Amino acid sequence: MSTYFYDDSSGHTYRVVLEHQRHRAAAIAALHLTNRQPPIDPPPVVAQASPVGDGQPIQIFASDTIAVREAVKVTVTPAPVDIRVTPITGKLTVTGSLPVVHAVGTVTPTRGSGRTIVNQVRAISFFIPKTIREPFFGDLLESMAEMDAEGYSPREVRWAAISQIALLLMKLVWSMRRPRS
Amino acid sequence: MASKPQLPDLTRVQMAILATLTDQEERYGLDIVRTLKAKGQPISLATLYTSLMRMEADGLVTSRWGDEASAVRQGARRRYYALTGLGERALRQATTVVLRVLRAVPNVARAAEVLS
Repeated sequence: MSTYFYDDSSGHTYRVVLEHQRHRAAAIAALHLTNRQPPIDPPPVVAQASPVGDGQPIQIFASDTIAVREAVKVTVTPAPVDIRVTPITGKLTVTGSLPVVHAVGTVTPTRGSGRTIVNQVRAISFFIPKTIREPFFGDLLESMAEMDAEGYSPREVRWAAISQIALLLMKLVWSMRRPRS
Repeated sequence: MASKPQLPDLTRVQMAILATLTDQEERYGLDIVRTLKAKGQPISLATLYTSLMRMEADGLVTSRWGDEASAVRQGARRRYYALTGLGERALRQATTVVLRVLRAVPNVARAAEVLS
């Protein structure tokens, strides 16, 4: 398993990529991050459970919860970030170190990531009305996380995301062609 | 005398969406989808958002941006939808029509009476 950890320069959030993790989300473990050095000073934010283990980057906050089924090895380097792990169920171990990269662009999402597809479409989705673009993609990511946690395979999650996006585009085109009642 | 403005006809999906907004002040998209799924009327996010867009343009719902930070959503804000007075009246009218139609069906009449 290779793991990447980096901050996105906003000073508050981090992203983690866990690769080659065969087993998927089922148990929940709490991952608490504390940073002792400026300029990064994460606030005590508690975020929702985020699925890990399928090689997709997830964004984690100062205090976050991630879902694991079996022991997951999370490593952090260099020292500024200190991770304490409190398993609720399952087992989460923290060992060794993991590179901190100060640029989001340096981490390449792994193959076949459903979130990658969502983010790529989101980036070019200027044709989707602004009022629904952001909530739609946010809800889609949230529902993908739920599917992850429910144990759906990455392929199923990816196809669910693709079909939702395709359906939205078809419906938008259809609604533009259809006269208003 | 000015005539009363005609309420828009609602589709089944629009009725279901508006119904979820009657028991709670406001809901965001995925919350509406979950609620409808639990009530045996599953709809997709794509269907929901295209319907909400049209319903907002028709004045049946209003919306506002949420301000919660969520890691899972990668910074995308939630949009909360609430029922308007017009939406409430349109839903009431649609429900009345549906019940009236159902009462005309002999076998359903009894069920409608039980439900009402």
